[in-house]
Amino acid sequence: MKKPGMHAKEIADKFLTYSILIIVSLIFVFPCFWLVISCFSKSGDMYSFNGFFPSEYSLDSFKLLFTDTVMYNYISWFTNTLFVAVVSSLLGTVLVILTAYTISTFEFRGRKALMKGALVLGMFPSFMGMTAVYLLMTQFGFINSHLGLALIYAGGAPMGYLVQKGFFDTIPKSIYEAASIDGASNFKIFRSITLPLSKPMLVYTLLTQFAWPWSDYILPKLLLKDKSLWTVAVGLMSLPETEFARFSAGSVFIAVPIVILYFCLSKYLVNGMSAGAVKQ
Amino acid sequence: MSTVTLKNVYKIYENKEAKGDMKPAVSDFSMHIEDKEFIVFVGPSGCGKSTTLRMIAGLEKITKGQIYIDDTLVNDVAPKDRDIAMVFQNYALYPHMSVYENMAFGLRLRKIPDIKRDKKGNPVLDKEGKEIPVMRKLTEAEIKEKVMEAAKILAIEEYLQRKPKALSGGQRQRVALGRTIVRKPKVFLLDEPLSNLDAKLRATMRSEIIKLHEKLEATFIYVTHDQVEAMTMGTRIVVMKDGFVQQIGAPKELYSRPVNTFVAGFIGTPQINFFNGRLTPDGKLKFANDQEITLSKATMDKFDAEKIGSGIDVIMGIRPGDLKLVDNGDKATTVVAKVEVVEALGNETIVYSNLDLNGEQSLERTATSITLSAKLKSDPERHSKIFLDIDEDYIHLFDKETEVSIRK
Repeated sequence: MKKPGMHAKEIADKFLTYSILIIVSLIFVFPCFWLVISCFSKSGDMYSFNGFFPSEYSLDSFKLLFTDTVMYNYISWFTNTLFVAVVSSLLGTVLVILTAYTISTFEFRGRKALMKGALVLGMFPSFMGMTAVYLLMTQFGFINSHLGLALIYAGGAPMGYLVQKGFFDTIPKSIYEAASIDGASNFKIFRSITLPLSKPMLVYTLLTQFAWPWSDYILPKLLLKDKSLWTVAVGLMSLPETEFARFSAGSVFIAVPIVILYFCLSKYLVNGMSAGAVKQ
Repeated sequence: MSTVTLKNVYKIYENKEAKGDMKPAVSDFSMHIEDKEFIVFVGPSGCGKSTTLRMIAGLEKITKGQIYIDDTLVNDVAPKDRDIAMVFQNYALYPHMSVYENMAFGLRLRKIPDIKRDKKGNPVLDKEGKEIPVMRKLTEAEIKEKVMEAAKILAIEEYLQRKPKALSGGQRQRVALGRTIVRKPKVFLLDEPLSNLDAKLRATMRSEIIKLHEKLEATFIYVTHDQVEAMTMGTRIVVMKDGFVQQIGAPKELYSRPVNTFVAGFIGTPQINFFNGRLTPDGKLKFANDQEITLSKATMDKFDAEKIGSGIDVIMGIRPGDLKLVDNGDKATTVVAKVEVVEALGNETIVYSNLDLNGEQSLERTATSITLSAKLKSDPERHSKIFLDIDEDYIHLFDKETEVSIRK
């Protein structure tokens, strides 16, 4: 039985909820929207804007981005970034998954200490080690090297193993025990049982390991001295204020691969693979 | 053909936080399991029954003692090399594989002895004209044959292409059993396999497992906390408590000759009636405050006269089914009680009553509560007085201090 007046109260409730949601989403969406709008500025100069918005619109900035490559070679920045991101994503994923699986599955001496250590170290921002990283990379001859950059990303990736460990922890131990009684070695169990069950986690890890180098600024700035080796983030930051439209266009365009990746892999991100494994 | 022998097996979990408190999870477990036996480990949770099973499986390290399968010491043998199979409480099926693949997984990893053959399948002989022994993997056809055979036994042929999540609880349990029987192992280990099923299905699966045991003619070790499962399934039962074996014996033996109060109380529903009392050599048994019965000479001869001495404080146990509702208190073994609650179950009636005729009715069991279960023509009225005759053949007496039976 509905009480009289309930209807009005429900409407008021909904109105309030939606108003808050709309305001919050505006706060988040507006900067993106503004960035996209400013790509289409004809003059390209931020100071020619009419308040928030450009005074004239055109597609010139995108054209310039890909054609005017003498001073600012966007295409080469893009391929550089892609190389670093792909290599560190693949390598990083392998390392993260192995680390998380080991810590989740095996009991070994120093396991707790290792976990605590990783937690504490993880609290420091990564650029605190910049000097050390720079020195190391000089020693290994990895200055101006994309591979060196990718190795740093991949090497740092296992520090963030906790999400993956949490996932592995949800796979019941008895499945592993059943497999080992069935005659499987540890590696066979990892390959035939754990990995197939972890597809969603693998995809998530690949994406996160890809996204970090893709948009990172500090490390490439530190290690890549040669202009032709720059990544998109470093390159775009070198653009003068008069090229603001080109900067926006470049920023919008680097979102493309991430969006494509996300759509291709989204079906794997749906969890539920392990449903039915054991009675919950 | 396989036996399992445990010799003084201990399991102590090292716990750095609780220094000094090194209470063993399993203490001094010794037993010999014959070929084709159906052994049930039973006890309350935390009694060490699962730990013992997992030590036999090789999933837990043995702290002290030896475990033999057949005549091989297996303490340091990996689980996969012990030729055992295990069914887990939560089934532990591989969720991403079909039922067929679940059952074939173990077969694909196994190698069988064979002789070296050429491409046509003819034996290759060495210089002396002898066959050369080799180990080879099973062929796909051999695997299929074995899986189909097991599937047929368990009636799961229809589901072979399904994934575990598309199966019901009972079907999953069958697949878990199927996964173990395809390999024809020496010993089957079952760790509370039925506790996730509902009561009706549990009863069905119980009889199916008994039939399976007959069919496979293998050694079964079955862990459960349910004494009904233990009583109905086991050829021998091991009752455990706090890591110690309390008694090993056939179901009937545990029921009729429990060695201590724990076993007497654990086995049998409704639970046995216990009373504190005092027994004197003349057969007089005083119990439950002011009740007194006289045991015959024949009965007294069953008990250890040395222990009784000039009189002993005892715990008297009598099962609800060993009491009889009688018309009067003429016999020396009859007591009077006041009915508190009557539960008519149809096939039998359980009468909860109290020997304290004048006491206030209490919600809990008291030291004078007595339960009767019997087939009754007419159920007694609540609050009425009844005469209960104690069948002295089935009276259990335990030393009050040690709680150990004083039977000879």
